[in-house]
Amino acid sequence: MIDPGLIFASIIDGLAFAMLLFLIASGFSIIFGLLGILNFAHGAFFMVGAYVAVTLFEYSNNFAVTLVGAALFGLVLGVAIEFSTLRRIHGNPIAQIMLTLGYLLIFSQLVLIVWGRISKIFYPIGLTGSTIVLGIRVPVYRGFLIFFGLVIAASTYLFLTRTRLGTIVRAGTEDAEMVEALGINVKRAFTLTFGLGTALAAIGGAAAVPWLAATPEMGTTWLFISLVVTVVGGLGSFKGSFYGSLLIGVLHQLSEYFFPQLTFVIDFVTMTAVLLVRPEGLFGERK
Amino acid sequence: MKMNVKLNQVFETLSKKKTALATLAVLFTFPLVTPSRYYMVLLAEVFIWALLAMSYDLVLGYTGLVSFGHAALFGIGAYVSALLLRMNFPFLPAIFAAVLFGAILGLTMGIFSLRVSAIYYALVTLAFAEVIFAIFNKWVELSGGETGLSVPRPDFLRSTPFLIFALAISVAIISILCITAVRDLAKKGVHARNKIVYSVLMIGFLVLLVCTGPSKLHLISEGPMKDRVITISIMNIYYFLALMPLVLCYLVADRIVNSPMGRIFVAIRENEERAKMLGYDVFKYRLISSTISGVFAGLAGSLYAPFALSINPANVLGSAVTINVLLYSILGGLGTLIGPMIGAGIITLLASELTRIPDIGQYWMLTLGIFYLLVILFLPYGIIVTWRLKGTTAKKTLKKLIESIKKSGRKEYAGEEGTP
Amino acid sequence: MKYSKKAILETKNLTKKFGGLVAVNNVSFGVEKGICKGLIGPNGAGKTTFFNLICGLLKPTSGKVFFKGEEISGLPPHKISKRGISRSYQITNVFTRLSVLENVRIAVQSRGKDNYNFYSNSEDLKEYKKKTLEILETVGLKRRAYYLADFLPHGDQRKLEIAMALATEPDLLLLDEPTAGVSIEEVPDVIKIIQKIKQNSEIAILLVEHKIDVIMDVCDSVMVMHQGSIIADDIPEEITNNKLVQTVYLGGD
Repeated sequence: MIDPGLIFASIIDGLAFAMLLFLIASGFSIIFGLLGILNFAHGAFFMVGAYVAVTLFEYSNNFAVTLVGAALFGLVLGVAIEFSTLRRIHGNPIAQIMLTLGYLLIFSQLVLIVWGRISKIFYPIGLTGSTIVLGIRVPVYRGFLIFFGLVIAASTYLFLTRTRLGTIVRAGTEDAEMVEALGINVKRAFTLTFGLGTALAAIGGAAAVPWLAATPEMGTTWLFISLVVTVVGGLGSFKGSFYGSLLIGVLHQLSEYFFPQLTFVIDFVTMTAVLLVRPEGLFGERK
Repeated sequence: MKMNVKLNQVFETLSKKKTALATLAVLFTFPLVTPSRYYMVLLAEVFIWALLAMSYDLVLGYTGLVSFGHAALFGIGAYVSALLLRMNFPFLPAIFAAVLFGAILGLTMGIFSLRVSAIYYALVTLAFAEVIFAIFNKWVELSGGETGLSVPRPDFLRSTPFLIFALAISVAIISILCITAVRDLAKKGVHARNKIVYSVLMIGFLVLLVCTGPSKLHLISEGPMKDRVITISIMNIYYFLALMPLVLCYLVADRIVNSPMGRIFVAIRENEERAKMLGYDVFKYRLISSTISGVFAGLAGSLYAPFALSINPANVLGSAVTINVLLYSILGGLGTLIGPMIGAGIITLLASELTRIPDIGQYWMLTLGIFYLLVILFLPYGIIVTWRLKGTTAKKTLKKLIESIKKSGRKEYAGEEGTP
Repeated sequence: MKYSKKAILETKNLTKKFGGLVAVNNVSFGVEKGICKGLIGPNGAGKTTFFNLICGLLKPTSGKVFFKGEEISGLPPHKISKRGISRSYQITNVFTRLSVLENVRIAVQSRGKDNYNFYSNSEDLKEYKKKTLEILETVGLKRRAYYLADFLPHGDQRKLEIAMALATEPDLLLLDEPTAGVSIEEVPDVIKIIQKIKQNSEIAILLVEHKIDVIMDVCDSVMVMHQGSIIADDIPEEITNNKLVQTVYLGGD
């Protein structure tokens, strides 16, 4: 008999994991959906966010500062990269993939050089330990992650649909020339959007550390998972990345608990199944 | 009489490919001429990566399929041959089994391309490779985990037939080269300057061979053949082991690429929709090229295992393999077969030289990464393609090429005139 | 207009919707062997979508397409091509980095038996080259056979489009604005090519065009499309007099 407490725990973990997935996958999806860029370096931003968070926490001991700092770092780094290199190869998907993979490689190496091979972790005060919810023991940090993820999801959604900048960006992908004709600098909006996507990834990485630790392999592993989520949810769909994260997150953790050998396999099988049945993803648009 | 005519024709064609012949000759006799064991090993590794790079070119450069799963093909090939060799399977059947697995895996990856568009295919193949990596990483009993598996040195390599075969081929190539050069010298139309150059090169080469060669051969010092049979050191043998399949595969690939089916591959790469509208079942052709690519990649992996003597998931299945292959191909130039091989050579040699520099040595991978970035930004078509375009209308051609590619990229955003 | 039973291409209630937008609305028509039928209409009328439906690049939302008496609606493009339908594109869509000769040769090869031949050198298969040169002769591109397709002047690119469509020996030829962007001096060349096709074969032609003089010169009948529906279908002279067509398209001239 499987202990129902174990199932509950795995679902909680699944939801928390899903929030982390959402943070990285939504960034990837936004960047593709709105800018048409396949950012294979996205996992690297997650990783860099995690490591920067480690250092920030070391010096500040303040979790809020750490999170915001990591997000800012991701934003700045993303903007720098888009501005200096990605722009030149707009419209050439193969070159984009290659270039961003190159960045993945470089960042992975830099992380190894600066922080070394050992994984790093920190524990924010006040969010450690566990509490009892409905008679079951739940780690506090998982709860925080779920809450945090939902907050970010809501804010990003509002940004995209309610603010002027968000609307500009969405219009810009439909018809760049038209928007430019209206006197708005589309290129700058695109750059900022890229930065937004990478900032999301970075903050995701930072939030992940107290639970999963920062490791050098994060870059590729999380790239892989965000790809799976994006395919399942639908490339370019914000809603899709949310529900896709939920699905994959929970499945992934259930597998970790009960069939650990099969964890990544489950992810891949789900992705393949979705591709076979509905190639554009659950919420994607048929191209 | 007919034999003579045919023979003449053969030599005529061969004389047009002098550079290729000369390169082959150099490659095959290199072990006999050079003192350095280090370079022997390095070059053997280069050949294996070159084979993998060429397999990748077949899929990406010739049918336009962006795949990120070649690590899986290589790694499975390596593990199959490693596991079989550990169970004392004879060498050739082990390699054959690995190649078979490679073909099946390649076919599977080709099947993925049916339901998904190009971008998704890249994602799916990447995910596929990562999954296989994850499985092997976790399944320590099978893969040896992080420490990996050790692979025994196959006896095949010390066997006399293999050695004689290798030496025979070398001798054959050198003779063909000499005969071609001599025929050219005898021809009337050839420039005097060229004649002198050929003669000098040829004589110099033969002299070098004769002087240094014999010192590399030595009598086997142990076992039943002791003192009776000549051999060369085992590292040199590995060199041939890596080189011969590479040459063979290249000849096969070259044949395929210039065949009617190969031309269809190229058409598919250039314009998939048009190819479909002309009646070509693009999916079937991609299946074929994926399978062949799987064969070559699996072969490369299966040779890597006995060469490296120890394999682990990170080395043969990890994303580093895929990224490296990408790098070789972009640097060398896709769609040329030779380009990726040269790219493999340059990068591997560069990497090994970088590791030896004191202080900077440990940052070699980082340097490579930066190098990679620079190549993509400034040499987007690779060395070979850029080199081929140089000469006549070089810069104009390249510019027009870039313009038309940019145009076709922008087409997706701008919308087409008069479309409902 | 009534269609004889010999219609080689027929559509019945062919409809294509993209979400709420109806691009092709309940189109039923037919065209016979040897006939050149024009298809005109304002931009956005649905003409290219219509072509895409016939040659399999799009699946119909409802309705059917029949070719040579058999239903082809929903088949993939390469199968439809093999049955004898061929098409040229409004925006040149050739193999840009290959030579003109190679472009057409690949088209010719598609009807041969060597499509899985991986061992012969394709240069050695002379019959394809011969056929290719014949076709290039027909469209007047023979002297540019070794040019890179991308470097051709625009007018020649349009001719290349037609050449490739011809090379697959179709029974039905869909020409999508073959004179799009072609200079005034070169338009007669294109007209001549179409007339040559009509003279020398029984190929049925569906021609989308904006230039009225081309339509008048080569078409046996003309269909007018507006917002996805056929609003008129008659001989060219009658179409120019049709009041409805005038208001919708010709601007009342």
